[in-house]
Amino acid sequence: MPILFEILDPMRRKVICTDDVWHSHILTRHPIMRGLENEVKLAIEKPSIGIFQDSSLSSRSIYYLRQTGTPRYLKAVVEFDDNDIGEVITAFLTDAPKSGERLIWP
Amino acid sequence: MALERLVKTSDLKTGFLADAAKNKRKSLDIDYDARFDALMLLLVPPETDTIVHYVDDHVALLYRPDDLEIVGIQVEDFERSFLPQHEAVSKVWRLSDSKTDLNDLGDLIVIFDRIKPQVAREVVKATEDILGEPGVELAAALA
Repeated sequence: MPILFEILDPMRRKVICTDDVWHSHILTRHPIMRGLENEVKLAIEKPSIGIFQDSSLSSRSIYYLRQTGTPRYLKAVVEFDDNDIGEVITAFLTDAPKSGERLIWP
Repeated sequence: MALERLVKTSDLKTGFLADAAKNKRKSLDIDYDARFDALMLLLVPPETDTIVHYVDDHVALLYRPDDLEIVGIQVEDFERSFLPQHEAVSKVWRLSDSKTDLNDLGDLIVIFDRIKPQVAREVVKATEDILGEPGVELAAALA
């Protein structure tokens, strides 16, 4: 499956985003994300504040990037497997963090 | 240190929903993302740009960034957490997921198209208290 990008998060964990997820899952549901691939990468590499754990799934990490000039964050959701390799499963723009998410890094 | 909320719920507008209710506009798009386990309900075409505005652990309003008009909702942890807490939604959702008497994908699409207004109404009914005024407007738009 073609990989759109492969990067490391601040915890040195590998994170990939496939072409299929980007085009068939993210852009079809959140067309506002068009052209924001690099911001998704930046959110994962250098998240604002840090890395959060999903409110209900410990295998899921959340990354926010504060967008400059708009009252928004880019939110990327990454699912990690048992080998600590993560895959982006969705990304969208939000104006607030979700309650229940817990900071796990730093 | 925590991330701050950048837009207040009271800043969002319900004019679009009120207009949809008044004019009985029935544009409705429902999409379930199984991997993320999230249901999106939109009263505008799916190609519309939207921002996610969380109102609780599972439920978020979707609004247009250019005019702050609320145009839908997103329910996260939908099958894992939301459905077990809302039996009426769960019942309708199971119908939409039924594979009985289906001959092909076309049958599945027909069934989902028939069920989706019911799913939308039950989801909105279940979230009306959480959503406040926008919930009332959404319910009216889907009535």
